[in-house]
Amino acid sequence: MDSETYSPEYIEAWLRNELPEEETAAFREKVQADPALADAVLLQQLAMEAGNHLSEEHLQQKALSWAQQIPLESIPEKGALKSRRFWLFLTGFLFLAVALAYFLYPSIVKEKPPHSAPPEKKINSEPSEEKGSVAETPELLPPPEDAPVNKLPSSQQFTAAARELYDAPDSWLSGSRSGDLRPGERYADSLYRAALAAFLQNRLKKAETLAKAALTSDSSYVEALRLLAHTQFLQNKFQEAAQNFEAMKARYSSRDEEATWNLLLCHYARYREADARKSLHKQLQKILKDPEHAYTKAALRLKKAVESQ
Amino acid sequence: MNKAFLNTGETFLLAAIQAGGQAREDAWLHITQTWGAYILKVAIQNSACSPDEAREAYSIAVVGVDKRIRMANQGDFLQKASLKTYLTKSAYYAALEVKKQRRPVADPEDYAGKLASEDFDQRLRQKECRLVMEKALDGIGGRCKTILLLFNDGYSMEEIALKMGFKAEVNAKNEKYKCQDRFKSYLITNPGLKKSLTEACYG
Repeated sequence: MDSETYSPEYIEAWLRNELPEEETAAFREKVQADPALADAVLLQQLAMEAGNHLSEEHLQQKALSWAQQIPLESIPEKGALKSRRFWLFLTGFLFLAVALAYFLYPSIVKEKPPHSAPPEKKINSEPSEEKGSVAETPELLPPPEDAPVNKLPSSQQFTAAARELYDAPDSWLSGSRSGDLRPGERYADSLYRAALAAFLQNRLKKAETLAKAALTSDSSYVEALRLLAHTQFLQNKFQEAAQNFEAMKARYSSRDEEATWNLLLCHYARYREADARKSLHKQLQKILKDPEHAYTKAALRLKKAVESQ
Repeated sequence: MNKAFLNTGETFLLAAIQAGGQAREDAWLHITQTWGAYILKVAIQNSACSPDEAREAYSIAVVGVDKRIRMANQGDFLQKASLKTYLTKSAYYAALEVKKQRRPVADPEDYAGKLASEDFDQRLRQKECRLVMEKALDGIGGRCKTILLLFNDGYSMEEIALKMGFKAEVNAKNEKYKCQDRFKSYLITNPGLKKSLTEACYG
């Protein structure tokens, strides 16, 4: 056999090492012995090299054009990187300094000599966590129904304390309904969305009006009821808010704990009123007895605050 | 293949590159869009090259990494480093080369750096071969170049037939050998070019 009898496919297969072992060795011997065959092999090898070259050049051009589409601003220059690092470092340092000052300031203030002027009487809404745990919670003191009202802090102070214990919910977006809605429901839903938008922008009066409208349009819309109650609470309309949290407790079982806690805060804000005091003690006792309740810790803080009156 | 250093995404990318054809091109596009900015940034930071030089370096690195991935059973080269790390190292060395800076001696522990360095040495050795090859390919025409390119890019016969407008897949294969023959004939009629090419590519 000479070079003419070997097809380019065969030579290519040999070059790619795709032939059986024995055949490979035999062909190698022939190539070494036949200069014409060796030249045919060289030409085939160069032709394959040409294909590889085309492929590499093509990929390089493609990669270059893709890399050129990466915006320049996303590739900072070396100097810019150094400068950015400096500013990041400076910002981090300042942030750390402010944070340290924030946390250390109270302890510095506490170290003031005891003969300094006595502080104004304040409702203790955040007693230390270490003072007690749920497990060792003693029975709540009986409601001071008979306590003279004029010895209690002012309504404004109770309002402020209740607001301090208030924890704004962050899961509002799930309130909007989806799927196939009836025309009435769709309208209520759009009112709810508008109410929520107003609420999140702190336009509470507008939010209240819209939430009420959503509820009027669809009385079964418990999420609108929830929004209405919170909106009223934040406007210090504690009596109305209490009614709506009460309704929410009855109709919105998955948010029962949230409703109970906020109802409690409504009572606390109206603590100067005897009926509110009575309701507060009753509700608070219930939460404290339930260690699984989401607001047990907060209730413990409220209990301490109430006892310190 | 030991995939200890490869996450699922990288494993898919490797498979796509090894498959060739459109999958390979899509994989490289995805890699560029996902890691490109980071790789360019590292090249600029470490070699003090310009963004354009970094882009050129990146394109060179892609060719080297692609070659390693597509060599038979060579996926194992990613045993000790991720694809991203290896590509980043390759682009960094290429950036040094583009900037005509001296390459640092690769740390023996730096596996990705060692491989990237080897790739680049090989590319440098083939520089002359690439230049002469460009001249030799002038003799076969654009259509033949496209056919040879598609074959080497790993496109299937069916894809090539479709792209080139051949009626049957077998025509694509015949055309490939016709184009190779044309290239060979061109070299036979230009023995000086053949000699230069042989010397440049095989020493």
